[in-house]
Order: sequence, then C-alpha cells, then structure tokens
Amino acid sequence: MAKEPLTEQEIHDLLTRARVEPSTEFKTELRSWLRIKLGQQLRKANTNGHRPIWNHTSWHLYKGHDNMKKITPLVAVLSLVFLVVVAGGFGIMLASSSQDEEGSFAAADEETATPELIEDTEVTASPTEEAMETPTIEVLTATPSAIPLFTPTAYSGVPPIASDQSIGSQVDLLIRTLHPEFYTYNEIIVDDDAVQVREARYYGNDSFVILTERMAPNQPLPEGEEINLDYYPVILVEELEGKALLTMDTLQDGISRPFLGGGGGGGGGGGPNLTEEPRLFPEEIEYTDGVMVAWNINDEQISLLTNLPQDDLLDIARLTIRIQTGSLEVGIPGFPPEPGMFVFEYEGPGYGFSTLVEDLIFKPLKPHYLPATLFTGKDEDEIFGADAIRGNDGSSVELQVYKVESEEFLIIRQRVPIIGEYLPKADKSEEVKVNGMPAVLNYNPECSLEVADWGGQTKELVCGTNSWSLIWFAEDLSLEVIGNNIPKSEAVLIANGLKLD
Amino acid sequence: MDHFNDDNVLNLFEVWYEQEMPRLYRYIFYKIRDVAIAEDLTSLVCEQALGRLDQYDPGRGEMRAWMFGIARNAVRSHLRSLKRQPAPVSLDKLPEIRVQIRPVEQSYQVKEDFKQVLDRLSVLSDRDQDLIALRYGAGLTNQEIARINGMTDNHVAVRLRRALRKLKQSFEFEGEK
Repeated sequence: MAKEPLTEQEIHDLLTRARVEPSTEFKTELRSWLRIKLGQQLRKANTNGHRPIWNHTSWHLYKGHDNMKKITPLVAVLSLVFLVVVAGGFGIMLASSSQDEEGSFAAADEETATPELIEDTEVTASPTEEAMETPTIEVLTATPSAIPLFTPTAYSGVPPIASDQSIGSQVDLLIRTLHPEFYTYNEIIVDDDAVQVREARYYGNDSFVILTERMAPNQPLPEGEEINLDYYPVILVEELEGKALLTMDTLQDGISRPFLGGGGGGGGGGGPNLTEEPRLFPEEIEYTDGVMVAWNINDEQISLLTNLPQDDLLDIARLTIRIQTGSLEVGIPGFPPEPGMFVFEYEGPGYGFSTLVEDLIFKPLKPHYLPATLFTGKDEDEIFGADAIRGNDGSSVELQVYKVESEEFLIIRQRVPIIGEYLPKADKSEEVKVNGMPAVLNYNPECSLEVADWGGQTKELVCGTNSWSLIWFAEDLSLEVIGNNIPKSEAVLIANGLKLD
Repeated sequence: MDHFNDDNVLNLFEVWYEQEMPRLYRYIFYKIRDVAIAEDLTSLVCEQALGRLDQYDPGRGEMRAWMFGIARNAVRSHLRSLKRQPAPVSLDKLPEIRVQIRPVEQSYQVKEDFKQVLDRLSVLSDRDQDLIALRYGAGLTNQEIARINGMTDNHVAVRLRRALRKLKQSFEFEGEK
C-alpha cells in the first residue's frame, strides 16, 4: 500500500525531532585546528600588543604599555568595557565601569585607574590588578565607521573594484578586470602621526592597484592636476615611476595561493582554479607609467596608485567614491544583511508577500505603488505570484509579480548601469518623465516571464500586444519596468513610486 | 581578574564551540546536503570568524547573527561556484541523525522520511530553504531568524508555514504522478 503523503504537521514534527549531527571525528579535528588558530592569534596579540576590544561605541585595538608615567591625563572616557569573547555566541561578556561626576575614572569592582589620551590616541587604564602596577592600555583608533571599504576574504576573491565578468555577470561593472589573475594583500598600519593607514594591494599579471586609506581628516594631498570625479575634486598625478612593493607576509615562502570560490562558470573564463599549482609571484612590480589619484572625503584620505591605463584608474576611483559616499553599496562579507537590503514587501488584500534580496552591490529602489489589479482575484491563494531574482554577481535584481491565468505580469528590473549606456528607443515609443528624469516608454517590447507553480511546473508568459516597457536612470541605477496586460497609464505611476526608502 | 588571559579565552572558545559549531554545521548541511562539503564549509566559517573577530560590530547585531552571516555567504559562494542546486540526498551519505522518538523501531522510517524532506527542500526558493535551515537545522527561534533577516517574527512564521505547505504539496504532487 502506498504511503500517504506527509502532512505539514508531520513535516514540522519530523524536522523538529530528527537532526543531523557532525561526526565526533570531525568535531575533534576541527576543535584542534581552531585551538591552534586561536593560540596563534593570542600569541600574535601578545607579541605585537594588539587585541581587539569593543567598548560599546567603537572597536579599539588595545596595546599594553609598560610605563604609564609617560602618558598625560585622560580627557574623556565615558566607560570602560572589558570584552571577553563569548557568551551566547563567541559572545561578549561585559564588565563596565563609568566616569564619575568629577570626571575621574572609577572602575566597577576594581581599583581605580587612570585612563589617558595622547592627541588622537585614546588611552585607558587596564582594570586588572597587574594594571595597577603598570596600568595602561593604548587604544589605537578603529571605529565602526572606519570599517575598511575593502575586505578581501578567502571566499570572495573578487574585490569590488574588479569587473566581474568571469563569474557570470550580465553587465560590465565599469572596471576592467584584474580577475581571475589577481591576488590581494591587505594590512593595517599606524604611521608616525598615529594615523591608521590601511593598504589594500591588488595585483595580477604585471598590473597592480594599491589603495591606501588614511583614517584622518584633511590630510595633505599630493601635487598634481585637480579634476572632478562624480562632482568630487580629486588630484591626478601622472607619469610616476618606481617600484610597487607587494608584501608577501601572508603568503608562504613567497608563493601566492589562489583564493577559494568566487569564480567558476560564466563568460570570462572562470575563477581561480584550485587545482592549479601555486605560482610564484613577484615581490614588487617596477613601473614607469604609473598614475595616481587622491582625495579627501568623509574625514579620510584615499589614494589609488596603479600601472593600469588612466581611464581604468579613473573608473576605479569613481566607483570607490560612490562606495565611500554611500551612493553605491558593496556588501562586506561576514555581516548579516542590513534592513536596507530588505527590498520588496507587499501586504495585499488577504494575502501578503515579502521578498528579500541580499548582497546586492547597490541599494535597490523599493516599489511604493503597484497596480491593485495584480492583487485581486477569487481564490486568495492563487491570486498572484511574486519572486525577486538576484543577478549572479549582485549587480542586478528583478522583482516579478504575476497572475498566471490572466497573464498579467509586471517586471521591475534594476541594475548597475553600463558605461555609455543610453535610453534605447523601440519603433513605437514616447518620451516621458519619471520623477523629473527623462524616460522612454516603449510599446510591444519583446519580453517573457517564466513562472513556476507550486508543483514545480513552469509556464512561459509572453508579452502580447498590450505590453510596454519604461526605461530610465536614477540613483546611479539603470531601471526598467515591464508590464503585460497592465494599462500603460500605470507605467509612470509604478516608476514614480520607486524610491530608496 | 584578567578577562583577557589566554586560558580564559580558550575556555570561552570551548563553550562557544560546543554550543554554536553544531548549529552552524546543521545549517550548512541543510543548505548543501553533502557531508564532506558541509564539514569543509563549517571549518572555513569557523576559521574566518575567528580571524575576523575584530570586525565583529555588536552595534550591527548579535554575534550569532554575525556568524550566520558568514555561514550564509560561504554557502552562497559555494552554490554560486557550482551553479546548481545540491544533489539529492543519499541516506547512506547522511551524517549521524539523532531522532527524538520512541519506540526505536520507528527510527529507520523517521530517517527515511527525514531524507525525503531534505531532498524536497530544493522545491523551495533559496530564501525559504534558508529559513528552514535556520529554523530546523540551526535550531534558531523565529525571533532570532527575524533579527538575522531583518524581518518581523510574524513574517518568519508566515513564511515558514508557507514553506511547509509547499513541501507538503510537493509530496502530494509526487503522489499524484
């Protein structure tokens, strides 16, 4: 006798009662490995004195000091928080103390100690008993706002400044690529003026890009030609020559190793091939035709030095400025999506949907107006379907809302624009305005939408004679709204309703 | 007391490891459905998290959410590199399954059904698979999932219900064939 299909409740019970467990062998091996890594980190922290500690408002790299007498009195420390990794995660266990009314520092449950500040360098006292003997901790600045723009990771070997054609991108992300033959090296140093400096070095073949962030306001800029990029003044310096040092501290024996993941498939030849033998890389690249741009924005200075063509450098700089000023978002792997990434939400009559698209490299616009006819019908469950489709590389996103029976559908397409892109006109079109911006409304475009029902069957809905597409640019995005069997009078209303928040 | 001494940190690591690593592993397994890859990715995620502790910003969310953020990115990168859904689950390739059920004689059937459900997760959208993996794999509460995803608790509950219904319908659809 055939077994009855599982019910919702049975599936829930099953998933609740049965669970997979990592094997004991795996647990043991991983524990040993992680303890080794943790030990290395602790030794490193003890050696160079840096230990990341959170004080409720910002991250600090704490560095032990031997002699507190050299340090001047502290001006402003509101709280001292001791972070110990763990408690409900790797967690945080906090023991805090606060400044009293006179401004002196009283550590809760601990002896009083004197936190101090030297110029931009904040210094607090250690709460430990030993700290009473030599009780100072130097704090090197690293606030959350100073989270580096670029975070190369082991699993995303593609820096945001690189074109991404090799992982299946449909659009050119403005930049000529160093991928897949690039490698990154990253380090944070503190210079003689106590300014935190972060260098990200991208290099591959005979090309390199060195990005330097100096986390301090109004840093002097080099002499050169002042030009505008995205309305921001930058200094361009040409005909530079020298040697670009590509430090290999993180690499073993001067041998670079390809990053995991980030590639495969797509049109550009795939990502790093893990099966390839490690290859030797130069420790430095000599250049005679270097170009550099530098600018100050948001209390930090960025400079880019490269031996790539000047146009490429300016493209990289333009994109970097957009990231820096917030007009373009680049997901930093490792953080959960922010609320801003929660893009599409609709509560319809009796039935609602919300669709999340994560890790986009831009901030999509949210629809504030959608035609009511898409959400009305007889059977509540079958009224409409909705999907959000994210492009492979996060440079595009598409919201689809459809009714299968009446073949009504709406597609809202958003993507990073291509350089030189213009408004395409079809045979039948008219010029309109969307929120004051020029737009083109094309009639009878070629389009279709493949939809799936819950049983996994697919059906293709094809644009008929009652279809249109509206195309325009806004918020650094290329936008298109496509409608089929939806009155064209709705087109501009839908488009006008697309907003950042 | 020195909160920063090495022994203390190592002890705290042990606590974290026992509590959180299995959650990460289960979450990843639900998404990948391959023991070897789940082990690799779990190792990768733990190591990355350890190496990037200084990047963790409590102002942006809880540590657990941060960890799962790393895990999700790792899984996504992996699936993207494969450009395909996970392969069907083979019962003999499943990791150890613990079943809270009596009598023990029924456990084989439960494991078989469990495998069927895991197999059918691919009928769900990636996002719904993620919710199922977080809820039933990692064992997070709807509230925790909501915080990770930037959703409301209610939304999580509604979407989970719909995902279960979709799974049920896939069983029915199979039965009609």
